[in-house]
Amino acid sequence: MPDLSLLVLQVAVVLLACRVTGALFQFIYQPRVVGEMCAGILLGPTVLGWIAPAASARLFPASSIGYLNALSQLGLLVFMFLVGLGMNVSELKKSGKWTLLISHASIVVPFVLGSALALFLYPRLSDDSVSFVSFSMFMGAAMSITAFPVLARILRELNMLDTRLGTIAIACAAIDDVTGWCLLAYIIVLIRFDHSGIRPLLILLGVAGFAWIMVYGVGSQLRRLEKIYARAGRLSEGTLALVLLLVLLSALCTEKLGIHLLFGAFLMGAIMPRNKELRLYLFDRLEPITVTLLLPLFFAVTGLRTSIAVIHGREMWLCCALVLIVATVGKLGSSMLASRLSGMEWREAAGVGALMNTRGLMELVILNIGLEIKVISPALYSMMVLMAVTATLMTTPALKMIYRGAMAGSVTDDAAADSGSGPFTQGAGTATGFAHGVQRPTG
Amino acid sequence: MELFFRHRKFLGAYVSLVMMLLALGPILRRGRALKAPPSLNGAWKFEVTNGQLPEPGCLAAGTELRRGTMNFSQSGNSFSLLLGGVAPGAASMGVIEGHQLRVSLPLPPKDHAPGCNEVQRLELEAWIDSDSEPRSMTGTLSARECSACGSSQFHAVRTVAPAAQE
Repeated sequence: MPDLSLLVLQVAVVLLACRVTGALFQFIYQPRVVGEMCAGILLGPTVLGWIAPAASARLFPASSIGYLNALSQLGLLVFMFLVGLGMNVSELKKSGKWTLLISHASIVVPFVLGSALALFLYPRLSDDSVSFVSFSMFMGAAMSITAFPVLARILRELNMLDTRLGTIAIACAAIDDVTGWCLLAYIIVLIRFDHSGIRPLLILLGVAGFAWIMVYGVGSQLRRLEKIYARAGRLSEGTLALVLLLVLLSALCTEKLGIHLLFGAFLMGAIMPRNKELRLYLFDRLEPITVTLLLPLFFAVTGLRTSIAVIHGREMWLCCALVLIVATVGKLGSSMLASRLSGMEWREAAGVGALMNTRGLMELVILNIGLEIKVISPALYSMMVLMAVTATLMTTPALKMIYRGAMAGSVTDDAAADSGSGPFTQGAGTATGFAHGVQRPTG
Repeated sequence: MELFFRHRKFLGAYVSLVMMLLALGPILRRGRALKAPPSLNGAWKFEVTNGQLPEPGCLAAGTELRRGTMNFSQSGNSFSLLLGGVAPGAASMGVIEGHQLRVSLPLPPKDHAPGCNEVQRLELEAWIDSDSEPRSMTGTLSARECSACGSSQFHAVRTVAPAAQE
């Protein structure tokens, strides 16, 4: 049985730390979510455990972390549903070919570079219970992630969501996210069942079958929600409970199929009716408690698992620096070059690169999965968390540096004037249809 | 042909991406030949085969040691050793070289035994047998700077392997 008083105290402390740190970060023009990510690290062994080990051990005893983690995972499930809900898959189909190219380049290049980096990291940071193929595939996937919700948040705070740069970055990040999650599902199956011959293939067929049923079976039935909403202007508590029940069932199915709970929640969100009002209604109902109360618990659990102390010695810090360099060069460089190739001016291309390098919460989600399935070690996990936080922290200053003196609204005009009528013009503006939806989840 | 020339930049970029993806083959082939350190992660049960464990009076963790369990949390060549229920903060980092592991664990004395310094260290040195299933190790446990505590040889077997890849 959990110590309820302790659990409530933990939640209160986490909530307070996240609110305060989030506000401080907003003060220095960083998104609140970056502050909340840092709050998690502050509460973990890296800061609190180092400054006041006794207080840290009393507040977060090892035996209590399981309950905190369970709560945070529940919040993460709903959050992933919201991320899926914010994505308009039909809009993605309309993306221009250059948007697709930028997105694919920003996946392939970091993936290959991450896999190559695994050659250096595997003998140093892994062990013989993990195969090199699993390790390198996971590193590739973790390097190629873009935090779609955080990106939307940064763009909104910089008043760039409706700019050309913003729409391009949002469209690319959305394609990245969908591709990234599919890739990760595939890799998880390979990692979990890599010793069992035909089983991965059967699991992948099972997952594909489940996705098909969800999209064409459940998805079409869900259209009734639109009618209910259109008739009453709201959903009854019973209907809302049904939606949540479907999210949980979908999550359970993907877990049972051998991938992860979060995939099911994400898929459920993605197949929800595209009615904008209905989606906003669901956001309004589910987002506040998820983002304000439950998501900070995920940051806290992530922070409690992150320990800078396990990164010790010159070699480990070299590994840490390499992780950051390869992740940034791979993501920022590839997106920038692909954007330039599409006809953008260097400045705008660099802007796309800086935005695509935003890692945020999505990276943390993937890293936590990696740690749970033990494909990455605690030290590598801590390095990757540092990379995720640093890369996300870099986004706003990098954008400001790139667009020095021409920030916010003027970015559109400058970039448009710079880029003229390059081939990219086909892709511009395709993402506006779902940009409004995706800006809601703040993680 | 005209279509090709019209889209040559785009097609060229995609060909480059496919070429990059093809580079995964050599990477994976080369990686398969790499050797990672032996896995230590998880809970181990040990028993003394020769000598005696350091006295409880000497070491605060004496009672934990007497439960005969230790937990390892590993990151490549380095690891943390957690004795029984001792919190992670009390863990100490050790190193793995080949199949040999060494760790020096600082332990504050509960009661000062004669011949013991205030700050003592528990030294563990062991050799892992990677071929055995479940994995096992043999080694010595000793308390440094405590002549009264002695040392012992032990044999340990991993009881809870990492629940990683099912």
